[in-house]
Amino acid sequence: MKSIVRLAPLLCLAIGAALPAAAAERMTGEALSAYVKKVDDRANKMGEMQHVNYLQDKGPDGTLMRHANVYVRDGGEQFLMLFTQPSNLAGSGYLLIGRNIWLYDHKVGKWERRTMRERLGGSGARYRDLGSFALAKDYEATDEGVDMLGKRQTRKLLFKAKEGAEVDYPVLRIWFDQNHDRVKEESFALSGKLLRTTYITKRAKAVHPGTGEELLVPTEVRAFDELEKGRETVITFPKYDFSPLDPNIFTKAWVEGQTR
Amino acid sequence: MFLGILQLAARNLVMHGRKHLLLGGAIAMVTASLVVVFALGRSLVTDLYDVATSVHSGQLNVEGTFKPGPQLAEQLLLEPGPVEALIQREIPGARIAPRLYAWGGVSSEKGALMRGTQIFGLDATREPGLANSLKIVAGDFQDLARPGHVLLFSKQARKLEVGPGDVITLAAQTSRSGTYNTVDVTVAAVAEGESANLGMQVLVHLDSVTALLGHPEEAVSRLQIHVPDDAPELPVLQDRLAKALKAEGHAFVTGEYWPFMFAQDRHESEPWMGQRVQVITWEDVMAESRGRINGFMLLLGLLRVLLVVLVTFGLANGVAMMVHERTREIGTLRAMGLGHGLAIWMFVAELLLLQLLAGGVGILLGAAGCGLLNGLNIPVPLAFQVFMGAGDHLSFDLDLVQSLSTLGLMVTVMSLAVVVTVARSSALKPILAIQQRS
Repeated sequence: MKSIVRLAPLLCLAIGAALPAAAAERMTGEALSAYVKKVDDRANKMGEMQHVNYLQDKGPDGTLMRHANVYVRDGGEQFLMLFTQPSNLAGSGYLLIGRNIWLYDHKVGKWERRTMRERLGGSGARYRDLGSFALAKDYEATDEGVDMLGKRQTRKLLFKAKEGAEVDYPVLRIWFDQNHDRVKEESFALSGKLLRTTYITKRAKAVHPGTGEELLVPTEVRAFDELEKGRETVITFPKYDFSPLDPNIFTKAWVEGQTR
Repeated sequence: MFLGILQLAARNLVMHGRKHLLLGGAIAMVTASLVVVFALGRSLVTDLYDVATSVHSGQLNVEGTFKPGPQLAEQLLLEPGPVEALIQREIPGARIAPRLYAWGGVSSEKGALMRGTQIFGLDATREPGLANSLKIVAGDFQDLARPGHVLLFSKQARKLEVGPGDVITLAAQTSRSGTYNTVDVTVAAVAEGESANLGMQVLVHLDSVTALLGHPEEAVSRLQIHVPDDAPELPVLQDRLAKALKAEGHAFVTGEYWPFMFAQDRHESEPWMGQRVQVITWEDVMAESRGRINGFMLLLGLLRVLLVVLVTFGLANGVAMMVHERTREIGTLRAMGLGHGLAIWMFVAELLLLQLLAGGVGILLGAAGCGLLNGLNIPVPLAFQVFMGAGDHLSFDLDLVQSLSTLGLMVTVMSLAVVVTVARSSALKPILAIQQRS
């Protein structure tokens, strides 16, 4: 006890010195813009790719499982998701055209227009979880300084949606590691209520065949619904493929052709 | 003369007591069963109408669809004031209740309702019919009139593990930007309601839904109209209102009416922009449930006709046999000077008396059965609840008109059987009729 009392002034001094240092570390202006650009570049570096993903939605009322192939080009500007399991959904999928996502029902051969906010295949996952996205385009960033997530040092940024931006979550708080990769994300409602917390729990190294660059790709993402306690969406990415995609892949005709 | 025939009929009833008791018992049992079946059908339709015209819809409604851009449609009437004034002018004495609809999540600290719960924004002070139709089991309905308050149904309150005074969160996406928003609301009251028609929505103060969706303050989705009792038929009023709205320059949504969640895609693929309206009845709003109930009622009706035909002809055959057995009696009466017509009347009166007595007993038995079944609170399987929008317990609502008309049909067919059989027997020469073996 005595030692703590003796150490207290030293601790105060250390904290006092650390706080201004942390505050001084906070980026603003061009430095912050450059940081966000790096984040966007990092997320979109994978370019044209195909990945397999498993969506698992666990809730109090049971578990829902979806397997799908996802095709992405131009940093998510072109996006296609084709379900492979369960068997009743296999052949159906989502195709992004402009700002709309179209749902294809292979049983009736019909397309239905949906929005970017669609819960993919009835799960808790959304387009943003599977495609890439540009933060700089839709959000204004504020640096909240360095933060420790467990033993990992991260940088915490607060993103507020720009006027007129069509986004699901008007406020995001994202923790980035030293490679500018997302580690944790909190998504807030307009009212300021926390709606979802997402963790990128696993990553794997991959080499891009085109650029030869070594990439760190997410292999497991866990999203926790903060309103519906106990509901969790786990997205696993067991396979990435960076080979060039069919030029016509992002068309309705190509999708329809897959089930014929 | 008439009294004499009745007196004779009554004496005959007593004299052939055992046979009449059997026949009368059969008539009473059949009538009682039909009364119960009719009561079940009536209860389903009455429940649907009550729920439809208090919770889901007005008897008539003016619904708005607003398109701020070619690819975005909202269930919105931006300026309800002038439309309300027009309704008051066209249907004097009408009660108008504004509603604003949203779909979203409802959650508490301990639980959540299914995604896509219907959120009905309303002004409780303008919906006295709602207060009368809901059975409040906890809290006070009047509190729903206070901003930031919500009414839950019992199964929702159980799932969320909340009661009056607890705070729950409503979450939805704003219709324009699609951004997520939430509002916290306090539970004002919990109403009894276990059926599919009453478990899919929460009733919230209008202001909370306006804030949740980020709509302009005045905007509503629909104006629900409850017409006065002495008003003309709904189709007449619907037509009158539509003409008046057109005359004032309101554009109309074209094509068949579909609930907005199903029609949104259609609207968003059409090129028009701005405000359009529709005048719809409660049956349009509840088309899905109504269709299912109509199908069920058709099945019930067919079953009823089959039952009535089989039973009536069976009973008529029994009656004919009974009369046939009394051919010697008819012959004796004819030999004593009873006219042909009078012989027919005597038997018709006897059977009429029997049928009316047995039918009356049957209706009383049926009514008692309905009371008993209501008291037993027989649970309804969940699949049936969801399919029919029925409550979680079967209820039986006595339908006297249907029961009496069916009894009338049975009486007529059986009387015809009597007339034919007696006419045949009394057409015989009395000596031949007397000699006939029973």
